[in-house]
Amino acid sequence: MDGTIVGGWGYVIASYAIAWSLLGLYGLSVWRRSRLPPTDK
Amino acid sequence: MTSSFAERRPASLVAGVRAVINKDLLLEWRSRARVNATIFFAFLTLLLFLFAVGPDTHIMAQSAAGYLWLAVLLSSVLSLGESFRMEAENAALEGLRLLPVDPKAMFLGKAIANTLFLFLLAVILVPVTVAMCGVEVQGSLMHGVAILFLGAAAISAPGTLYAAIASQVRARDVLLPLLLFPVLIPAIIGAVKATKLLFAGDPMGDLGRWTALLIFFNATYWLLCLLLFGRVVEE
Amino acid sequence: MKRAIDFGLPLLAIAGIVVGEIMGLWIAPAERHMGDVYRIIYVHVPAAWVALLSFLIAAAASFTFLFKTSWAADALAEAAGELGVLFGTVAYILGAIWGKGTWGVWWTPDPKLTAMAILVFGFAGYIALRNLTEEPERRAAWSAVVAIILAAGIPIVWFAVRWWGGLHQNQSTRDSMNVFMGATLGINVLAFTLLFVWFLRMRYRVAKAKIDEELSEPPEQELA
Repeated sequence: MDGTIVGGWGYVIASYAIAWSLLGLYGLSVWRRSRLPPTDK
Repeated sequence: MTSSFAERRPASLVAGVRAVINKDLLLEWRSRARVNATIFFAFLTLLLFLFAVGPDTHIMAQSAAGYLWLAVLLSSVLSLGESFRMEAENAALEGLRLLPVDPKAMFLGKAIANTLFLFLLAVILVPVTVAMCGVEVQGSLMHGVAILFLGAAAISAPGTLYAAIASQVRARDVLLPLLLFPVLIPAIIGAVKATKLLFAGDPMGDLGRWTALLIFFNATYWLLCLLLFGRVVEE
Repeated sequence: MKRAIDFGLPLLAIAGIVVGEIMGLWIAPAERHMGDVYRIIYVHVPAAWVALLSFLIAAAASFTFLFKTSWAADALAEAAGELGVLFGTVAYILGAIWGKGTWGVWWTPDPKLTAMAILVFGFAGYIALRNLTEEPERRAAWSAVVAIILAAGIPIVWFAVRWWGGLHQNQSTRDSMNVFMGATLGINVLAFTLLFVWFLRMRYRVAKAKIDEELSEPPEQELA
């Protein structure tokens, strides 16, 4: 691949990691809440 | 012919607005110690900005417009919150719901009163800013007055509505700025940019653009908040 | 039908995300000027698009509530508001990282990023208001008002921020996109949208359950 900037991948990995951990944590939390009976907020 | 209390026609809109303005301005006049304190707060804020940015006169002159409007904005949190405090403490909003006062009149009256106060504040702060930051004023006085007024009005429209909400909720002191500031960002941008051009001169003729932004902001928000205010004070 | 969606949607969303990521990270070629850093846009752009969509849904639902007092609309507004803040924050963080990676600065007065930040802060206030108001009717009415005021500001914010950042600013977000990159982006946007709809349905369910529970409680004693 031409034009690859060394070190660019660090940014990519970091951002994907941040994005998916945030979305994943939120998804888990809301998934859990939507299963429990309504008394749980 | 008997008519129930609620069926009586509410006072005409203009009369209602005038009544609210008079009541609010009278209250502010009666507690003018508080008004003075708020004005001094604005001065103090301005001073703190200057101390925070250091003695470089060039930087101070560049940022003078920004400090001016930030001082007005921070003071508005105090004055807007105050404009409903009396109602909140005396549960007067409940009382108002029983009276045939059109919420539109209430909004217009309070928002106009707030605008006048903030305009006064801005007018007082301008010479102070000019003196302390070493700026010259290049633009026309009329245009300057217009910008100050538009800025004050821009803060007051959503500010009055959000103050009404915040006064009925706990944590009211932090909720008002939290709700208000994001909405005001375009207006602050416009006011600061316009003021800066009036201070430093307008080589590229951008002043009209920022003025138009302020006018459009005001038109949108005064109308919108007028229409929505009823939902904020009703039962 | 509903069960099919309940099962199928998450699977489809996850599958789409996986495919999109593989395409974005491996198969799509490196960009001519920026190398590999540009791949961030395969998450940044979909997140931003979804955030905007979410805020618009919240505004529309709020508008509906003011006309019809529909508790479904209120629940939808709550869900969409929260998801907008989530995806908007992700978009903003990624935008900052991308900025650092390409221009060397964490932040520039990019109009899109700045406008998104304003919306995210605005709806964070919306969430705070909802959390602080206990009576359902007031909470719904007040937050609906706030959402509409925020939505009405979007065009004004857009112009203000664009002019503020410099009147002759060019948008460098789309450099040289070849067809395959475009397709990858499109697939990621689609996958994110499915993910969003999945989250939205779950969060809506939570919100609706809470409101239903609050409304079914016996009313407080009226003062004599």
